[in-house]
Amino acid sequence: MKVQSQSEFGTGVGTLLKITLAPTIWAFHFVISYGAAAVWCEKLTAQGDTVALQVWLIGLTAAALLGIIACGVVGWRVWGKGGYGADGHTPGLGNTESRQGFLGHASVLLSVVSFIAVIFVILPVLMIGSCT
Amino acid sequence: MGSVLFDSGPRGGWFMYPPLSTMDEGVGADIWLLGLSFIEVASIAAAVELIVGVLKCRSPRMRVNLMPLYAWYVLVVGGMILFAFPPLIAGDFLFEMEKSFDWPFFDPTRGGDPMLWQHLFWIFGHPEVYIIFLPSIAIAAMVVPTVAQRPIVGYSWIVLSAVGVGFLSFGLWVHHMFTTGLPNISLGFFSAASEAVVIPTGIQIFVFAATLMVGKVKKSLPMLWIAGALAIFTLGGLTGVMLAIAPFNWAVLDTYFVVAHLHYTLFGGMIFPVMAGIYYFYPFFRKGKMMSETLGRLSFWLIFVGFNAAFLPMHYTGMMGMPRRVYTYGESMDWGWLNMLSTVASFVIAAGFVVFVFDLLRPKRDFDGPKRNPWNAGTLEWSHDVPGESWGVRTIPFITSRYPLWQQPQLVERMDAGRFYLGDTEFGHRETLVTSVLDAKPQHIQRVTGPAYITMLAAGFTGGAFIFPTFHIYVPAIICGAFAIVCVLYWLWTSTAQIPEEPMGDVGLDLRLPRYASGSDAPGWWAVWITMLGDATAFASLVFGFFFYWTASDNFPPQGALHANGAMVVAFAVLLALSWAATRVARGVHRGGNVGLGRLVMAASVLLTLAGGFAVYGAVSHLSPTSHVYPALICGLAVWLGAHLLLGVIGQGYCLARSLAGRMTPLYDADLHNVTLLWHFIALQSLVTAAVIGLLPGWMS
Repeated sequence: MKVQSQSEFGTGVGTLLKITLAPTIWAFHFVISYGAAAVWCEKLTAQGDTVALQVWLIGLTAAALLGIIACGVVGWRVWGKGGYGADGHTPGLGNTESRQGFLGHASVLLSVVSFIAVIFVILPVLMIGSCT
Repeated sequence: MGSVLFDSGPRGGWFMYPPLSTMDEGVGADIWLLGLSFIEVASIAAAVELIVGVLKCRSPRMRVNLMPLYAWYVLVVGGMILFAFPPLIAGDFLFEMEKSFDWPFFDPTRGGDPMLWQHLFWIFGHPEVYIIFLPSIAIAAMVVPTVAQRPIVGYSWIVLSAVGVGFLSFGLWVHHMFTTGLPNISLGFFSAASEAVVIPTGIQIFVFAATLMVGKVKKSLPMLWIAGALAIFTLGGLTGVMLAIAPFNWAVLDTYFVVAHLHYTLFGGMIFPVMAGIYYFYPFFRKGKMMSETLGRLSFWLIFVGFNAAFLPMHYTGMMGMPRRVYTYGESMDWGWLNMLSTVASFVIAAGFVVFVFDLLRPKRDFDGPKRNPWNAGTLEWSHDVPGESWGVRTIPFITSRYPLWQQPQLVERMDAGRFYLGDTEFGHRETLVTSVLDAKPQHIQRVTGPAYITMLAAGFTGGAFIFPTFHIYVPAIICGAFAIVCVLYWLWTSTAQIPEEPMGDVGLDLRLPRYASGSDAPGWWAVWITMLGDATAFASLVFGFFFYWTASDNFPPQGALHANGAMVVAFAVLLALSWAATRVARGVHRGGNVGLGRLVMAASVLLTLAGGFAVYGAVSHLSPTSHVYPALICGLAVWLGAHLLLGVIGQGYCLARSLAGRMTPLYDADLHNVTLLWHFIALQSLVTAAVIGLLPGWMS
């Protein structure tokens, strides 16, 4: 009973949470950027220059964007496999392939939104070159 | 709300910024906190119920891609509540400690910082706007397909919208704090996220529009309200985009422009969709009755016209510079007539609500036409019986489509004939099916508790435990708290995790399922997981406070301050880790069949927890929390941990008692699994607390 139960929690919720991987990357990117800017400006720099901060956060952004692209590509492949249909009439909506396809589609869409949101968040670092 | 009538409203404004609110001598701030505490407890309980309900209690084979959209929305909202409310719980805890015991968390003269309250309040406050909005707009996602008489266009896009908003809404909180002197870069992050959240929010509106365009729209009252909602909400969203730009925000901060914006979002995003929902679901709740079409239209136009006449001018008064929260101003300001217009129009809104309430309450005759599904909707709630029966559904159907009443022929007839799952109950209990997360495979029969007075008593005593301290009456509060615990334990003991008469049961359609589940199969285990996730978020907010004081102040921890007693910190970390280990070992030993040894280890875990509790007290007892925020925060973390140890030791003792009473056996051991899970979280909190109060101060200074 127990072995089966562990896998239900892991695979069930785990698979469902996979669609939130891209927005989770956005969340970490956001929190780290915010925390780094706060600590940098309050504790680490006296003159308020942000060059080192910019370099680090651009690196972080590149990593985050790569991660999100990976989520999108994986989602795209899963999406393509199933017989996905948005109108609810497509034959085979009630099977495992279409469920997988739906989760893939949702991952792709969330990756797109997260990609845009990460770019939004890094813009102030690039455009505002000072703490004050 | 009633506190306003007794001159005990919160005089520091509804978001209660210290030091204004903590210095207010009246009881208003405490009553405000009381209300908030009830909302927090209730919301988190609701979140647990919604998440477990959506994930584990669907109809067999209703896969995640077939769920009604309402379920997707409330699943996301449940998740948001778990991360949005706990920071406010932490904030309330600090606030009440300052108000009642003078621990100076927000008092700058003793190292505190009022900004911490603003952060904790708005980390809650902005997601909360979306927590209000999403379930309301979810009603639109139910009404629109019915009105269009076709499935929603872009089901996955709605899911994207809900999940995307759920995440991005957590990156907006500082846009309520643009003028508090944070570095410009920090403001930029929040400005950017506030603009980005518009994308998923907008997408669902396009999805609704597309569904209406390709469908055959049948005009109805619910749709009228939804249309009004979309129009008003779009306007509120547009001013939201403006307010997200920091320089514009500086210009109109605390003016009527903000008042206009927030009313446009909340009327469009909440009031109008909820009104639509009341008209739409009325024949579901009052079987065979329908609200009046004529009165409904009258009410709609009064509220819609009144709303726009009242709040549209406020954009302009705000731009002219009229501040919020004033009721007098000079005649020369030229905004008198605009305010008069708003005042008159607000009476028009009120008239609309009077018409609505009259229509809601007046006696009604049965309406003509199909009573079970008057709107010809496609979702399962409309399979209800008219007149209603004393059960939810006759049998639980097998679902293979998104709109079963449209797409699965003869479904209702088969449900009525009892030809699906759980058409009967073998032992006369209330029962339901628990299904798997992704594909809703039936897993076991869950016995459901019935109506009881003990739960009411528990609620009453819990209320007492919160209400008495508001007025600084502590002894009855403690007595109420103790009785609340007793009531909850009595209910748990008599109604949950009961050993079934038979291990397996027949649920129909040739399926036999277990009648008991423990560990991660049991909904109770999921509930513990979800509750403790929220609890861990509140704890993380307290720890965030530690870092916040460190970044915001040059002198935290202060030089020469007394620290927590190192030896005692080590002692409680070790004792509580051992208690966790004992609980985990007891679970394994007990499951393996060695009940005697299991009981012995459980008893040891109780003693270890008690000893650990004393060590926690010993670690901080020499500190004086009123002198400075540093000892206050250490003591605050200790109080938080102590409260959890009380919960943890009750759980350990409860398992021991259940085993001794023969209500928990190696095969039926759900209680012990749930308490072990609880202890995973408690052990983690103990170790983090030990690290924060024992190690961090050394690194920071």
